[in-house]
Amino acid sequence: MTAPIRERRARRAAADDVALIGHLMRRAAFGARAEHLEQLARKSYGAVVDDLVNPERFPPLEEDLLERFHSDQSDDESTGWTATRWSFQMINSPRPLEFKMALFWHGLFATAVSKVTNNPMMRNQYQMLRENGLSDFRTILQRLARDPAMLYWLDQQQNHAAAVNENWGRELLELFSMGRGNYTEDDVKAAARAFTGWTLDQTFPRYPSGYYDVRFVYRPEDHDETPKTFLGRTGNFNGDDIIDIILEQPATAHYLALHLYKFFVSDEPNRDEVEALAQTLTESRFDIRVTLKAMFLSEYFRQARFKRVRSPAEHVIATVRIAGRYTNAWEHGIDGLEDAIGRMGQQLLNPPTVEGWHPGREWIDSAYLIERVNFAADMLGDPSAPGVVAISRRIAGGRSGIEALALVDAVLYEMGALMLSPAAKQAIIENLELVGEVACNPPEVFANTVARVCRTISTAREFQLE
Amino acid sequence: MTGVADRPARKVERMRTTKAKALWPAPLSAAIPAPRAPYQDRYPTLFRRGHQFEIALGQRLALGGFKGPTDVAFGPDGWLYVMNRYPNDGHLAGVRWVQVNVKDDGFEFEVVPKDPPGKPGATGHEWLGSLQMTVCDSQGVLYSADEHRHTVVRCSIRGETLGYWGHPGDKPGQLNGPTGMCLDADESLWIVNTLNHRVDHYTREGEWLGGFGQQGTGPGELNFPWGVAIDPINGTVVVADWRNDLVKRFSRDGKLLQVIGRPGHGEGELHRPAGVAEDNHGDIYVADRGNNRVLSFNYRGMFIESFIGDAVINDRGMQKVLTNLDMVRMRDNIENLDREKRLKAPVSVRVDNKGRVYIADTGRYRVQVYRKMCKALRPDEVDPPTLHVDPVLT
Repeated sequence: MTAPIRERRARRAAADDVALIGHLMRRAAFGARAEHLEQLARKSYGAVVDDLVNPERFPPLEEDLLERFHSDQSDDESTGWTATRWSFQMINSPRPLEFKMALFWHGLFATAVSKVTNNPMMRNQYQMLRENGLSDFRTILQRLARDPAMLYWLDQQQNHAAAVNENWGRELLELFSMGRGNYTEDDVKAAARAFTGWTLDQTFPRYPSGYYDVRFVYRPEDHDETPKTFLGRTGNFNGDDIIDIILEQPATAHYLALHLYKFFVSDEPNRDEVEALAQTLTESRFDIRVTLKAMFLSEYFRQARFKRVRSPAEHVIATVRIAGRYTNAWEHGIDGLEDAIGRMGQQLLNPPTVEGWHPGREWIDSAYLIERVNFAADMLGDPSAPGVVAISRRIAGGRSGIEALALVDAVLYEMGALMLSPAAKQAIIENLELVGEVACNPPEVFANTVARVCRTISTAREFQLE
Repeated sequence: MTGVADRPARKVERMRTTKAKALWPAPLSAAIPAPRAPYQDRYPTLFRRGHQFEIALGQRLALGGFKGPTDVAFGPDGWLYVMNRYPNDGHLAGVRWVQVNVKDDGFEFEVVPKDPPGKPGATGHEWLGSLQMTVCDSQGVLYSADEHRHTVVRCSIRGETLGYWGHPGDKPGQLNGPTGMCLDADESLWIVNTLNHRVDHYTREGEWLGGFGQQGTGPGELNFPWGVAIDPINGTVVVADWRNDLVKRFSRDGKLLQVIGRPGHGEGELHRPAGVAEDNHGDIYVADRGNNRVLSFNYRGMFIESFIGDAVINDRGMQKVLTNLDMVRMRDNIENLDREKRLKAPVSVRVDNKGRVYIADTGRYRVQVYRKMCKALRPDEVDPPTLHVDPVLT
């Protein structure tokens, strides 16, 4: 083999590595530009996965500056601010999987401020999901069953030994762990009785001093101590016993595996692949970290590129990361992100119902699509955006010009090894009237051209996928 | 473009109830700052009795009240001007000063400019959005700096926006994240340019007179400084070095003279200090925001006292709660009401010439006011103060 061929193959292999890691970073994180992907590609794919699922290897994001420059949020009253803080973390944290998993669990355990109406409770639930999101499902369910926001959301404070409220018990089985068809109405009642006495303490009203934290409390005098029969087992169960029995059911592993698959792999589940994931969950005793690692290393995950519609939060954060915006705490306007995400149909910390959002193609209705396209086009069409400036500098390198198709390919690569069909690329070239070789100088003019290409790419169908 | 300063003065809307007029026909003189004398030559020796909680101003109400008060300024008309970042009455978004009368049993009324100062703003299309610290000169001009728009706004206590000054940038004298400010003895302004990690000195019209500071964690360096105060005794500059968790005293040309406090969460320790003030005795008050309290130190840097908040619901707050029986029932079932008294993320602390300490209890929608109880001893009553005093037992 001649040297040029070897060199060409090596370059192609390196590009393949960057593309694969780009795929991983879109799914397990919130995307990255090629500049960052090339750094990651110096390590093996397995090592990058290992770093992602072990976020404690990296220092936590310093958030004090965010508080410093948003002292107007000192009252901690706005759930919009909690969502803004989450956005900042998703954009900047060196531990992105923590925040991605918080997004996953928030979708599964949908709790809305529209009923809870207390930001400290919502903030605490979000922090709980973030801190425990990579632990194991038992721990997560146990924490969830003691989470004041969830308890209030599902009326658990009204679940008394003498007057049972089944709301939490029902949703625990139906939406949070097993799914319909795997339990009976009697199981729901037994679960609800086992959780009697699990409640929250009284907090201050909003006026005149604002919201205060709420604590979980267990009131033994209000707990039903009589025997219960739940999923074929009989005993004087409490809430933790119910969670343990749920985790023994094969349906639980399948239910969680299906949700993980749809969140990380594809909107169209493959039965065998979901089954494999469920088996990993069971064998690892529902260890989320182990399961995610196995999933990211699997062949089906590597092949599943651009098979998911990005959720609004993923779309906004990935776009912001390409644009290089809001990397410091004092950049004005970050509080607009949660609003943008909401306009696309995913108001963080305020899902429409306990079922959460319906992902996949349902993110793309005509109104939401316009919001998605407009947001990305505005963000990436700004030639002064730091990310766009960096992209144009890297492409220009030392060269005087670049051929139009090569420019589109280079921009796609720089935006995170994205892919477009040949027809879409040609459409961009025609739309922007790029003819022959595009001059790389003067830099401001070239940055404008790159911004126009970025902007047009952001309107493509493929940009809605990851 | 027509500048805001060129626009006609806006009419001021005064909302004063009949009851208020009857009870308080004229503003009190309590908050009037003393005429600023030339610097004194020595700190007095004090017999300290401690600070007594006096009143909580504001609170969150459906109409009126505060939302996110960040600072107070003392007007020459005897009123207290509270920087209220987000008005709570649905009237306007933005920032405004709320005029408050300070009296022992606490009542307030407001002066509401028709528009928040800055609309449509220095650049013609956005409101001022991040005013935080404020001062008022003897002419009744309020000054505040917009941290995000890098400009200083001047507004009369009658509600007229008088104009803006300042050039954004990272050079000495340019504004970059301006926040903390205080008046010097001659009523010139000291302003903290947080993002330049500097403290700069300006005339009231914006002419740069000097300044100092550079980013770092070293002894004489600053790291995102926030509040600033001028020592009324000797004119030295006291700065809350926010990210270094310290307060530092500098000479007017930037030489480090003293480090006050140390990082931490314990007694006399600071975590992300914000506002800072110094009273006529040389006592330094620090809004220890990260620890949800205010600390006081004497001029030697010795920790004296901490303020964690003692507010009880004032009459207007109680009236608000009483309009909603659900809230009354909720309160009836609450264990430990102490939590409600405490400070939350105080941004600023100021002192007036009557020994009152005003803490902007930003996270709890109120200003907590304490009164300093002490006696300043005549020089002939005590030995000259010394730097180190040997402990004695009586």
